[in-house]
Amino acid sequence: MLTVQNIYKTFNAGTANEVRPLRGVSLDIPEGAFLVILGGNGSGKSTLLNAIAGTFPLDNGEIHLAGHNVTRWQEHRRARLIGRVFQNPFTGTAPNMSIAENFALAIRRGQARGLGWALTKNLMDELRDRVKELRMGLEDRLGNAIGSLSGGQRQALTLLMATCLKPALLLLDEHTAALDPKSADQIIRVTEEVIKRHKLTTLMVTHSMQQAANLGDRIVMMHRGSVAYRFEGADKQRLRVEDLLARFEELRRREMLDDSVAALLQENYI
Amino acid sequence: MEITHSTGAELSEIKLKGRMDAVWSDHVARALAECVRSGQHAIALDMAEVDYISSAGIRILVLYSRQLKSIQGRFTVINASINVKKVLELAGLKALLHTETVKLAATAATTAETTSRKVTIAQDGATAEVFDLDPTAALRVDWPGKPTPWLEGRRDPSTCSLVEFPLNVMGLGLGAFGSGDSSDAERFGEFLAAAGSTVCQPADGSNKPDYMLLQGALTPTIKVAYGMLGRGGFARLLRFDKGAQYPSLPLSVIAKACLDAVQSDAAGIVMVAETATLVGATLQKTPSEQTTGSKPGNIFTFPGIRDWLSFTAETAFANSICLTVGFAASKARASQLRLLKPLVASGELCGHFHAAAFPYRPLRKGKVDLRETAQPLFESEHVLGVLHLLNDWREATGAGESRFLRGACWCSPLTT
Repeated sequence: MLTVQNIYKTFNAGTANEVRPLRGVSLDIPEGAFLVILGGNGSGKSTLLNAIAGTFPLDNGEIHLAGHNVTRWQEHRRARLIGRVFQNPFTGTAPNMSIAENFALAIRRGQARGLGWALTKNLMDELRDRVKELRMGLEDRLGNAIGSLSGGQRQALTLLMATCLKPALLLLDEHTAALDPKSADQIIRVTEEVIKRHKLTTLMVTHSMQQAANLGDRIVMMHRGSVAYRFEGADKQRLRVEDLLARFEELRRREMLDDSVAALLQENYI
Repeated sequence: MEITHSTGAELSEIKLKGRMDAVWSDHVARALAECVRSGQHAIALDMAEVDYISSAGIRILVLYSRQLKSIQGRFTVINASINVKKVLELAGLKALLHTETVKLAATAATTAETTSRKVTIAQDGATAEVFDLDPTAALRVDWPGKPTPWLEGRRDPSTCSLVEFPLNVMGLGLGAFGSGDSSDAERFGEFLAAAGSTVCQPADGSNKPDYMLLQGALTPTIKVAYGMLGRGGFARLLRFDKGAQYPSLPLSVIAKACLDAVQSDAAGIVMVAETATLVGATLQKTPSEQTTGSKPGNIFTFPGIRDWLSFTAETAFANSICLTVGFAASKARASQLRLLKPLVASGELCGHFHAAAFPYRPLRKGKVDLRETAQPLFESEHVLGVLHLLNDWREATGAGESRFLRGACWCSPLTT
């Protein structure tokens, strides 16, 4: 479904601020799979997500999505295939428009929008049913401006909007990171339900090891712009938070092994 | 609740004031754990001003009474209030109560032991006690296998030997457990063995140390790529404690104290000790021709070394307990022995030590038996990791030596 082949990206190349967030990343997500990308700050996980969404052109490598080579597609063109939920609950919705109006926009994502009544009775009925599934009592507040809702409620609605067209790929960019623990748990529950119901192919970025251990059917651990570890199938099922912590510790130790340690080991190991 | 702590020479007293319910029991447990960790194995809990105790509180009393009993320590409730006394009596825990209302006389763990002599070790305030075990005992050393081909990526299974570790063999090196098929070749990692316990951390990426214990007729056997063995018994037991003045004792000081204890310039040492920090390296991948690829010859080249070895460049396994096996020798003697490298920057003391770390549990005081001390670690805890201990003496950035709080070292002079 999604294939990422050896992609590279360097920002501010040739300047003092040069960063190389992607250094040859490859991924393969079959249809209906749920991949969790885990990594520390600056590991390149969000950049990878943005590369897939088409936020910037790549230096090298290819991205194939749902049978199309989307490498040179602009972000808005890819939006037909991709649903996204961002970390910031204020991104992804129009705050001054009502819940219903936001939905009316989302439901026509990627299509031409003419000058007709957006909020038809059919749409409102369907919307009410969908919002009811969130079990947050929002179905009675469809006329309220989205800006008046809490962060958790907004993320839940954004998630519904991102998935209402059953996208070929759902991108979740640390979408619970800005929420309080209780709201985050609620959003995770909603996320699982939605993904399961629509059998969505999903790519979720997180730095929460708890989420990584409990969600998804595969994990990619990023470090310094490349994939450090991959876990799939039985390996993923067995994985506990402690195992993930141990892997991070390993990466850190690896980083700290510099040439002076190498010299010390050469001298004293045997 | 108020928890106040006073430490005497032989007895630690914790005074409680308030309710010992579910909320406060946790805090009491923490105070008790801290007390045990600081080396106090005789604890009196003053409950004169505790007016209520729930089953959550009783649980803590039973837990610590058991733990201290298992290490020959002592745990008593003194000056119990009428309510506490009534509850404990009804619960059938009268044995916990010290009936006299006066302060408990010092009845520390040291029961009638065989004679020992006190020695001072390099640092002031650090105490050590030496017990004679078998003054004529010595360890005959032997070096199975050859390290060079392995560390150059030219692994040679023909130089491997299958080594049995019955009670009287200690050793360390690079080894692998297994039935002997070809898949074992990927698994060679640091191992150590003593008193019928053998533990090895396979370098197959799992980072999970595996172990074999002497049980009935089952003798641990490991395929050894290279290593150093000592066969024989232990001459002396050295019990050390960091004392009040120093936070911990470095490995080199303990190794030197062991050499002094056996009055020799080379010794085999098995140590079980409460750890402040361990510093060392672990093989991450078994070197082989296929994997060293285009750069055969040296796994220590930077940055390739990162694939082969992991190094604890900062505190690791803090507050654990570890089983350490090793050999130490003076500089002059080390040149006649193999696999010994400087333990200190001056090079005056050499050695080779491997350590297996376990979650913390207190260690019994006095004269203890090696097997009875080592084997229960495996039976009730899981092995956190195995390290080849090294002194990181790099200036400014170095993590220094592995350091210990208190422990027991069984040691013997080496013979070739």
